[in-house]
Amino acid sequence: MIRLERLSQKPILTPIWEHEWERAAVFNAGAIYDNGLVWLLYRALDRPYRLDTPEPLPEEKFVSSIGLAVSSDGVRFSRFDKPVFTGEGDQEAWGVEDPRITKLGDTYYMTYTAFGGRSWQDYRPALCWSKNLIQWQGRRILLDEENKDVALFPQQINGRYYLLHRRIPHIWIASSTDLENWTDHRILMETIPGGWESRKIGIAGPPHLTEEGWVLFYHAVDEHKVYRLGVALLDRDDPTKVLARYGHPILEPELEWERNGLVPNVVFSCGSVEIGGAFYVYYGGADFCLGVAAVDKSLLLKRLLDRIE
Amino acid sequence: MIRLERLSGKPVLTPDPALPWSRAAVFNAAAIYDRGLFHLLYRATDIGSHERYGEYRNFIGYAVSTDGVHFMRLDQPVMRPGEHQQELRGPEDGRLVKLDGVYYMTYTGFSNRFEGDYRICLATSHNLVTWERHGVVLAEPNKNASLFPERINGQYCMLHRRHPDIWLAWTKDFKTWYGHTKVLSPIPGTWQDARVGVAGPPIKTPMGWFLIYHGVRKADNSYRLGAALLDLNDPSKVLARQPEPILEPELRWEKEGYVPNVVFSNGHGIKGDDIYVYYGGADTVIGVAAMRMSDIRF
Repeated sequence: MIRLERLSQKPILTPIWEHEWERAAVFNAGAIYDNGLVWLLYRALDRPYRLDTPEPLPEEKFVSSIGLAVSSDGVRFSRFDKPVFTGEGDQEAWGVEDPRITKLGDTYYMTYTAFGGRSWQDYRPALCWSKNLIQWQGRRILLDEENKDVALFPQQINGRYYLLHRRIPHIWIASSTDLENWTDHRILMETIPGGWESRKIGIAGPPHLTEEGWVLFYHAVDEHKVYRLGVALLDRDDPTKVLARYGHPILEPELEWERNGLVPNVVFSCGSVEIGGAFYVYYGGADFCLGVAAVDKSLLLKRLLDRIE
Repeated sequence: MIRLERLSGKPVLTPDPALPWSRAAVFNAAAIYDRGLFHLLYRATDIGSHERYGEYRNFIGYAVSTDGVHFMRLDQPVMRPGEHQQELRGPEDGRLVKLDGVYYMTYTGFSNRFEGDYRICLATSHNLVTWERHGVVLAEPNKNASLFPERINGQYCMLHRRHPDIWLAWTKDFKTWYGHTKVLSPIPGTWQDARVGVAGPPIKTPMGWFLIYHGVRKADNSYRLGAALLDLNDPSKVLARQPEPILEPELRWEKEGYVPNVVFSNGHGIKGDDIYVYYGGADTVIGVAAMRMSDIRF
């Protein structure tokens, strides 16, 4: 059975008390490998949150920002002392969450969840872009509906942009010619009753193009609200076709910091990179800190292809 | 008269007590404006940046800004001491140019194993974060070296300092240097009577290479910045030199610090017509002052 192997038993990034904006948690990071460096755009939280109230409580307001960290080996990171992206306007009054990074041409696109905090459902998928990962521009709502776990494919396919998103409880896919008007929405992958991906599923980061197809890491939630990671393979030329779904979790909460945090029993990824024939998957542990786990690319593809026969 | 105007009454970067490697001083920053951002590669020390405070160690940190005034920085240094025998006490005072898409940083390798144990070293990078060291480029006690930001007549040119003057030399391979020529000397009886050295890389203008440099006064060892113009084709020829300094220690953090009365620059960012000059204040903090390209008149 194939599994992600943790490259560090300890978190690779933890909150910094002296930085008000990332005092409570750093988790759920978009990732990109570019010019010899791994960049993480991670969600940071200014105070611990409670998600069990009927509505968001103004007196317990928590705000998410996006911080930036960089590494030459993918495991040891340095980070900046200020956020690179923070919320603006009513729809982002409670901040910006769960970034996913895609490079198209020479432009980085970040999809993220804009959270307004007027109700628990007050979230929208949003998009912005940058030429340097630090200065982000052009923020706008990507889909004006309750939706999250959204990422762009890193290249056009047959002249169209593709977008993965999530209409509860399934993973959806849509396409566009201009990154603005999204059409052909359809379910890509559904929950599977009775197991580790029964309650809902959503993508991790943008998929990776390989000779065999698009490798898609995703998360799945079971009836006990345990978050695990899974993997699937999509058709190279028609990513609305799922060629294989591995069927077993490839990472699940095991270590103390994956089991206990702001939300217990969560491994949740917003991004992965390919370095030297391996996929490095970055993941938030218990909505509190960040870890990294990796898998050999050719071995993973072999196992996925086995599932097709 | 050319004068730099401070963009802030406060330093743009100060030591961070939470970071052991830069808890005492941050100063003397290489700088470049590139890809829409101001980048600084600044010198940082763990304890006071003078021998009287002990055997301080030098690190190079990285900070970045979208407006040239508000910076954010990485919590780990991008260069550390002890990674090269010429840098047992660490890399100091970087100066940065981009040549053919590659960043070149000249800096002072300081080991202090014996008197005069400092050499001009070179490192290159494709991303400003990971640096490849190329070791000593000039085998003599020397510092304050900056490359020109482009080749001149097909060759690389570097300004350096043979005490107390600014010199220039040429190379094709960063190993063999030739044509060493004295460019600029101290002027007796003035604010620059002790020694002079380059600030950041020369700036190309239609009139010539605009050079910002530092000058030291004997009487009190105070550091000021001055300006000169060098010939485009033969930069050893000084076309003009302004008698007055363009910046001098005036604010409290320029006058008080580990080394008092110092404004010392290693670089600038050019955005449109504006030149943002970064400078160390009293070898303790970093400030920024600016001028316009169109104000270069001698």
